Amino acid sequence: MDIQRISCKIYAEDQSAIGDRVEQFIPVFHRWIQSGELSGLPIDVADYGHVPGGPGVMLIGHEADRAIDLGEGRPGFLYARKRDATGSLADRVAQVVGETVAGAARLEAEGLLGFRRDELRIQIADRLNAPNSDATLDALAGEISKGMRAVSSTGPVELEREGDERRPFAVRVGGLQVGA
Amino acid sequence: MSDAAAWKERLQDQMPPDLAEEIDLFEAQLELRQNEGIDERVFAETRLRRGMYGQRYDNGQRHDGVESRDLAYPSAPTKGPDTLWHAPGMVRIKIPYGGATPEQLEVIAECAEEYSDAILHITTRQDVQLHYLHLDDGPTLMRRLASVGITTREACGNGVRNVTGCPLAGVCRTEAFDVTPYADALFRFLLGHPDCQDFGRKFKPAFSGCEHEACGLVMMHDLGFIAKVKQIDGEVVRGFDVYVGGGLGTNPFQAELVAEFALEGEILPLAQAIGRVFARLGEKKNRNRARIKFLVAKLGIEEFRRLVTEERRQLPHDPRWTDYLRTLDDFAESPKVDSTPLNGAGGPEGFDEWFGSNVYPQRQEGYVVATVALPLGDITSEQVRLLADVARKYVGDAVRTTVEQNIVLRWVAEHDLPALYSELKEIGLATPGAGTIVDITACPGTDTCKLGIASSRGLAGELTKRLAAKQYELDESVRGLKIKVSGCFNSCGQHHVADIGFFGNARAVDGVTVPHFQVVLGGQWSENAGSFGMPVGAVPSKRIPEVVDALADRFISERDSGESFQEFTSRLGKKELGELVKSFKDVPPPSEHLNAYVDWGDSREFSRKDMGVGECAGEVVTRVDMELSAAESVAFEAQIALDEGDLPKADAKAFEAMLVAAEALVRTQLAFPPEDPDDLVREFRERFFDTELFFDRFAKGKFARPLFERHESGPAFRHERDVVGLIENTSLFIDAAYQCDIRMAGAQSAAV
Repeated sequence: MDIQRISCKIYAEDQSAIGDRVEQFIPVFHRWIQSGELSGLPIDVADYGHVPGGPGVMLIGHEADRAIDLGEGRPGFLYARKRDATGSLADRVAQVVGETVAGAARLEAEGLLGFRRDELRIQIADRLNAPNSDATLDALAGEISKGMRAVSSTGPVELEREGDERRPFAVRVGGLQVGA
Repeated sequence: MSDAAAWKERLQDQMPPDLAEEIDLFEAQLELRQNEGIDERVFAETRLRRGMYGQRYDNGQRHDGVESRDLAYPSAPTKGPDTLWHAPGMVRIKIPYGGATPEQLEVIAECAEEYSDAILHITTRQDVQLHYLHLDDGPTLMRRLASVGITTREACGNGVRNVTGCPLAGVCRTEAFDVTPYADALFRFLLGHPDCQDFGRKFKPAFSGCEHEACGLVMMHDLGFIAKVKQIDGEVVRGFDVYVGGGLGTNPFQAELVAEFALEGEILPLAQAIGRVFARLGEKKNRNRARIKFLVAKLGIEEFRRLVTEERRQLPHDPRWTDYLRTLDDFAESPKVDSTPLNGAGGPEGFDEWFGSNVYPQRQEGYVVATVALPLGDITSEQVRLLADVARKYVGDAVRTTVEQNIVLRWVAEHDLPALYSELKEIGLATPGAGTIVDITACPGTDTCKLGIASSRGLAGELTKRLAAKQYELDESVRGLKIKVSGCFNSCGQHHVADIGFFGNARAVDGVTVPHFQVVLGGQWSENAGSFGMPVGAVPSKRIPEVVDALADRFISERDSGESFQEFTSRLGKKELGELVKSFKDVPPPSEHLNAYVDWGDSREFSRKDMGVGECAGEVVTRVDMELSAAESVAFEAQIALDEGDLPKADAKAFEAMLVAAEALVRTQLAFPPEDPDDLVREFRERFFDTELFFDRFAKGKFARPLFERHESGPAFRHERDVVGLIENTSLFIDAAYQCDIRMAGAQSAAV
């Protein structure tokens, strides 16, 4: 089982901070590309600010995308790995969460958004290897928790699976403190 | 087992066998190209014919606002000329006449989530596009789509594209009859049809039920059908006026009538005959003149009609021409629930505005079509899933995409409208203003298209935002106008048929390149896109909103009673409208207003350096090249079967590969090679072996013998060594076929 498509979302502290001005992040992402400081191969910026509850503004990359995501009615920063991940699932989760927190910290350093560190959403968009079911949660919870422990300063994390089985497997992760 | 293999195994029994086989073939071609076993040009056309397009920056270069930089993708063979393997691309998914079931939409949404960016983009030809996709994911994505009856075949490339149709077909108040089954039949008949594999350019068909509405926009299509009925001997008889040679782009052409009232049983053979004439006489080398419109213009419609009539006479009968007529009733939709009238009952906040613009009363009393207006044609995977639930609840399978980049739900019971509105609102899909000035159409433009010059989506998004804020204050005459935006002159945004159209270009201002849009006014949407707008001048991109305001003001203040925008612009004329537009041509110097030098939705200094060679025309690759490439893929499958120990399959595939290669050569002399292997081998022997055309300078006819031997002796899989030998000889046979083709081409050019 080679799970690649793992994403992590960290939520904005102030849910109204973005409002209808998500386009303010277009120059931010272009600047990130220009800086050459991001990991992987960033390619371009895609503006989906017009789509309600959509991916907002995306920084498309070869291995991973980053986004100011507007989904769930809760804006946040999202890092979505797509390919070339290596190591165990725990390693991969830790890498994805690490990149998410790094991106959030970067936005905070630029004074653009603040993020809460006690809740994350991990999604695995891979219906073949990880259908959205309790069985998948049972099978993957250990590795996900292990990955989380590598980046969280607190003890055991809480994983709550999101229900609709047609959606990709996703867990809400609580009881943690990341990147503080 | 790889994920791709696991998906294949899981879906094997759910895919129609023909689709499954095509995808296997494409997968084999992918692997061959990775081993550089197929020429990149041939592979590019193969890829396009499977619906997989290139995207901006796939040559590995991008201007980041400061300078052009290399995008350091992992090393790999190219997937086409100057097109890197690992660069993201787009897949176009064919939705014939826009008809998609909730289940199909859900599977597309899943694919968008797993292989793309979780956005589905509805195109101006009722397709769905997914962007930022990796080519390696193509076969699995295609299998998942095929498992619900969807294909991407010939969605791009030089073939028959999606067959579009009026989204109101079957429920329209003014149609002659429901064109849906006819559009479906033509789609199935022409998909992969041998007579449509040698076109010099793409070929777009469309169906309309009405002559005077916009309907299927027949007049701007390569091939179009307008439904008509006649009383003949006291019976109502169905037929179509058939039009050919329409098209947009730099040289827009209105289609011409090629057949008046072709009977319903005659439209498929007529389309086939038109395809044959186009394949035989259409331009192949200069792709700028290769659309059928140029052929029709060159020959004149009378001569074109004569050739088509002649071709039609010679067509061997095909039962599919009329078989589908027995299934017309299968396409009849029925309501999910009985309806009771709304009787002026109110709805939640915003309902009245939405009802005023997004609801169309069907001819079936008590039922309506509700339009889900999508901003710039975009919808998220999550919204699609929730919309599928809404559709199942209220209308069942009666869902269609539209050429205005929206989705319609048909057969909504009137009394359900308030509840439907509330549920759509809950998922962000109850935007009012469908079909009005705020419902702007735009092609992908510089966001993802290699040909884009200016940001069509950026401009459309900005205009939408500004106009939506004041849409209920706008004069009714202005509110009904249509705006359409293309990123370049190719007109994928259909700017020619808008009241106010724009297409992207660029101008140098004081030595600095500034994004501009050419303004095109007075195009006609009704009458099946009955006339095209006139270009009146280019304006800096950032000043376009001012132009729209000025045009609207002028129309309101100077319009004669009852005058349409087309009539108004025609009365004012190009000179006066040019003067109006010209007053917005200036931009302040960069030192004062840098923003004017940056495109909408972007923050980088404007540059044209990211433009690339478009793939919408496809590669100009000969048919024999394509078929020999297909033969190689079949040979590759033979090798795989051998590796898996399946000797009978390996033997059969190797023989099939040689037959495909032989057929490719025979076709260079005989337009329609026989399908029967005995006849085909005989033709090959007489035309290429006996004449020594196939002979290598040194090996003479040696490489042809394995074909003859296998044909005469039958299957050779008793011993593995026999099959191994057959596969090796198959490769040599195909190589020799390539060499033969090259020699023949050389002889031809020498003769010229």
